[in-house]
This record gives sequence, structure tokens and C-alpha cells, in this order.
Amino acid sequence: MIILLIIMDIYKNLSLTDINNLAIDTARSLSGSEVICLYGDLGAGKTTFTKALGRALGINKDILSPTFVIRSDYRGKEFDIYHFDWYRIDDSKELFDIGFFDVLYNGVVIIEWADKCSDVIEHLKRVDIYIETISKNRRLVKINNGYIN
Amino acid sequence: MVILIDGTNSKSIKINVYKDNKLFLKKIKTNINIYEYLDKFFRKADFSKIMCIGINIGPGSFSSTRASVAYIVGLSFGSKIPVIGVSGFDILSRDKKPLILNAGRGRVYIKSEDKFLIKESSVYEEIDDNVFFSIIKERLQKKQFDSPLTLLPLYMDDL
Amino acid sequence: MNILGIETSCDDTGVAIVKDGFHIVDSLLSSQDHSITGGVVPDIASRKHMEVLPLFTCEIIRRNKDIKIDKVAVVVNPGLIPSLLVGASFSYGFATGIKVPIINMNHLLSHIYAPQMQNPSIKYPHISLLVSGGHTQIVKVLSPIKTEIIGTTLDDAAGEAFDKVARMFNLGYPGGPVVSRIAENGDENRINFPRAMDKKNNYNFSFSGLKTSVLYFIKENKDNVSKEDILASFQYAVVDILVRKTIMVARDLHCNTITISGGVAANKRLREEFLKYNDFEYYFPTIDLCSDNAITVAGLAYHYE
Repeated sequence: MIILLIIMDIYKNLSLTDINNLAIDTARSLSGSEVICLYGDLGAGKTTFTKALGRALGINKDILSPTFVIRSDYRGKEFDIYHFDWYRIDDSKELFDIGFFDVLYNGVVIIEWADKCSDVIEHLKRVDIYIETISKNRRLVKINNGYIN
Repeated sequence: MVILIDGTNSKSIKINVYKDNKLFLKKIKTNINIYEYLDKFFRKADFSKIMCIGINIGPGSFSSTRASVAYIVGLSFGSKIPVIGVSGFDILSRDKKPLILNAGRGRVYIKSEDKFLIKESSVYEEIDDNVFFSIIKERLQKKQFDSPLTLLPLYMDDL
Repeated sequence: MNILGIETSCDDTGVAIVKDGFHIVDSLLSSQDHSITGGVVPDIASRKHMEVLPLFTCEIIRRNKDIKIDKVAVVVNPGLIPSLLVGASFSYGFATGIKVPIINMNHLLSHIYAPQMQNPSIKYPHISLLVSGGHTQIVKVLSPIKTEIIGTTLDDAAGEAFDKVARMFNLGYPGGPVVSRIAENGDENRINFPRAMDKKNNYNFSFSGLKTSVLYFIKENKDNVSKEDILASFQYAVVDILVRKTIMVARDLHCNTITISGGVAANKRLREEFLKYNDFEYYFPTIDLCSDNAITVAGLAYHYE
């Protein structure tokens, strides 16, 4: 019998400062080949979280929303960071064209709107971060750090 | 002179120049801008001496395969040098090897029926450049060229 | 001098031949010239470019057999990496194939060149508001090839905000033209959406908060406020901040001439709002030169040595 345990950390009622700190903690825990998937509605704070994470990882450039370009590459202090936004992706095959599989596990990969290609995501070792809006300045964040058999 | 180009390895490009049926020059460059490097090479080349260009259309790393194919398509269309596109699977098949190519990081490209897929595996075959050359030579003799207006890289059918 | 320009930075494939920087000899754009490709092209942008670009190049050369191409100019940044790669690779190969020089072009400078190309006697320096799906910048234009960025967006581009708001109402992509059309029937003063960074001496933009405000407003007022009013008020919030900041920069930098460029420059409301400030000279490109195209690429390339 296999028991599948899902470990999820739930952070209730986070302010912008709390989210910032959460991003900094997440940054500290990274070793350089993680895939981080961000889920949440428009305006939930996926890009905001990514900016804080990127700054904590040592990215000096401005981190902008990659909705339009789909992929932006950055150099962090210790490793490369690949920032994806799958909002405009309609077909998973496009992921080959943007070089997603080329950079996968080669640096820290951050994906906004990862749910657009759930068929690809479900096979990957990854960290899932769900951001939910509670009110204008408050968020609920759930972090799914992995699966244990 | 026949020139063989292979950009299917991630971020690297291989140029093999054959003169009188013998490998005359071999260049491999990694971590390079594919089209800039190809351009540096071909800007110095004497087009009147090039009988045709053979290009590996994949499977392989998407960016570098696409860049090398697009460059050669542009070059062939502009210069009228004939181009022949060959896939890694064609080369393995001629060499009587299983149709499995390295996709990096524990994955391989497989040809199954008429589909081209990616699977998890660490077992794969390598392409023999001499077999690549013999396919090109044969098609050159038969004047079986590809049109630069329709030559495309190999695309994935399934994930 | 005849320059062949190639544009593949996003979804549209463009080729164009322009003489001496201003005279359009011929042009092809995939969003318009469907018949040449036979109509059926892949949806995935870089695959589309791979199929369309060689055909378009062949066609434009065929249509202009008596024209000698002196240089090839191709957009190499910014944009969608796989799309740019196809354009750049093909163009380098083609230029070497016909033995002419190749010039690397910047997509944004090409957009900013549109009003200059259509108004050769324009004064320098002038201020240009570049506003598209991927970019929002206020730029000081010293010459066709020399610019200074004065202000930029810190998160979403204005065009992106239009696309995302359009998505909230399921209006399709691109969102700008549809939103604009529906907004014409709405009251833009009904809702006062926030204008971010609305301070003196702040030349930067932020549209992410506006996008979120619209989303919340829709959630809370779905039944009592019309779609037309929400979209009109949203559009005005964007137009208002774009115009006022640009005017502020022009005044602070003592420039009397203002141009706009990029996809959102086609927006009627934006053009109208600028004209209210009548102490400036305005140059707006024609609609076709606001969206991505190879004409301005081929034109701008002339100005490089």
C-alpha cells in the first residue's frame, strides 16, 4: 500500500511585508534547480512575489511582467533565473519553442499561470505556491513543497 | 566541397567540411550564438566551391536546431547553393540503429510509427557523421535537393 | 539605397523594402497578406515565422526584381526570444547569401521611428510616448538612432492592461481595439480608477494596480454598473495618466514636439486627449505603422552608418 502525503504550508492573512519576507525565506531555501509554480487570479500577486524573490536572489535588473514575452532570463547572485508567464500560451507544444525544456533544472525556473499547461507541470518535481486574495492588502498563501510516498 | 551543419546539440554548432569525399575540416563550437558563428564562417566562404549544404533538421535542442536551419535556409535562398535536410532519425535508420536520440537530462527523443516523442530514458544512440555524409552524398548525386522555401526543422508531435 | 527590413519580434511576420529611409517600395505583413501563404499557418509564432518568412522574402524579391537590395536589417531585440531567433538567423543567412551587410535593429526604436518616417521635417529633440502590448516608455528622441529613456513602466505595459481587462469580459485578443470600441458607448467619468505614481517629477508608470482595481470592481459591481461604463472609465484612467505624464516630461524638458508610437498609439481616445493640450505640435503615425511592421525597420536602418 502506498500512502501519498501532501505537505502544505498555509499562511493566513499576509500583508505585503509578510509576502516579501516569505519570498526572502523561499529564496534562502533554494539550491539552484527548483521549479516554482505560482497560481492565483489576476492581481493576486504572482509577479509581486516573483519580484521579491528575484531581488532576494540577487537580480539587479528590473523584473517586469513577462506576460508579453512569455520568458525572461535573469542572472542571480548564485544561479540563473528563468521567469515564465504562460498566460498567453494556448498549446503546450509552444513550451518547446520558448526553450522551456532546455532550461528546465538548469537554474531556478519560476512559472506564473503554470496551470495553463497542467499536462506538462504534473510530471515535474516542483514547488507549488497558491496566492489567494482575501482583501485589498491581504493574501492567503499555500505552499506545496513536495510529495512523500 | 560539401558542408554539413548540425545544430541539434544544445547551444553548440558543428560544421564538417568535406572535400573530394574526405573530411577536410571539422569545427565544433559550444556556448555560442549560432547564427553569428555560422555567419562568420560563411562570410569567408567561396560559394562557387560549395556543391551543397547538408543540415540536420532535428530532433534536438529547439533553439539551436531552429537557428541553424533558419540560417541555412536564408543562405541557400540568397546564394542559390542547394540544401539537403536530413533528420537524426534518418541517419540512425540508415546506420541500422534504434531510433533513440539524447534529449538531455535523462530524456530521449524517440520515433514511434510516424510520431516523434520525448520519453524518460538514459539509453540512446549517437549520430555517426560519416553516415550523415553518405546520405548527403547520395542525395547530391541524385540531385534530390530540398527547397529553402519549404525546409523546416522537425517538430514534436507529443509531449 | 534600398534596404530590406525584417520583423519577427512577436506574432506578425513582416518584410519591407524602403528606399533612402523614407520611401516605401513594397511591404508584406502576415496579419494582412494571408493569400501568399495559402492561409493555413501554424499558431505557434516561431513556427509561423519559420514558414512565412522565406515565402515573404521570396515574394517581395520577385515583385521587385529590378530593385537592388543594398542592406538587410533585422529586428534582434526586444521581443519573443524564439520568434526573434528565426528572423535573425534567416536574415543573417540571406544577407550573406546575397553578399550584402546585415544591420541589427531594435524593435522599440523602429516603432519610435514611425512618426519620424511619416514626417521627415520633424524637429529634434522631441518627446515620444511609446506604448504597446509589451512596452510603455517616454523617450527623448535626439535623432532617429539616438534616444534617452525618461520614464518607463515598473510592471505591466499599458497594452497589456488593455489585454487583461478585455480578458475579464471575455472579449478576445488583442484587447485594445475591442475595449476601445465598447468604451465609446460608456461614461468614462462613472468610475474614478486609480492613476498610479501620479506625482510631480515621477516619470514612471505602473498599471498593475489599475488592472487589479478593475477586477475587484467587476466582482463587486457586476450587476449595477454596465460593461461600457467600466471599460470607458478604465480606458480613460490609462489615457489620462499616459497623456499627463508625457505632457509633464515635454514641459520639464522644454520640448514642443510630441509623438506617439506602438500598438496603443492607434487608440482614438489617446489621440483626442493629447490634442487638448494645444501648446504642442503632435505627430501621430497612421494606424498601420502603429502595429509591428518591417517598414519602419527598413526605414530606420538607413540612418545607421
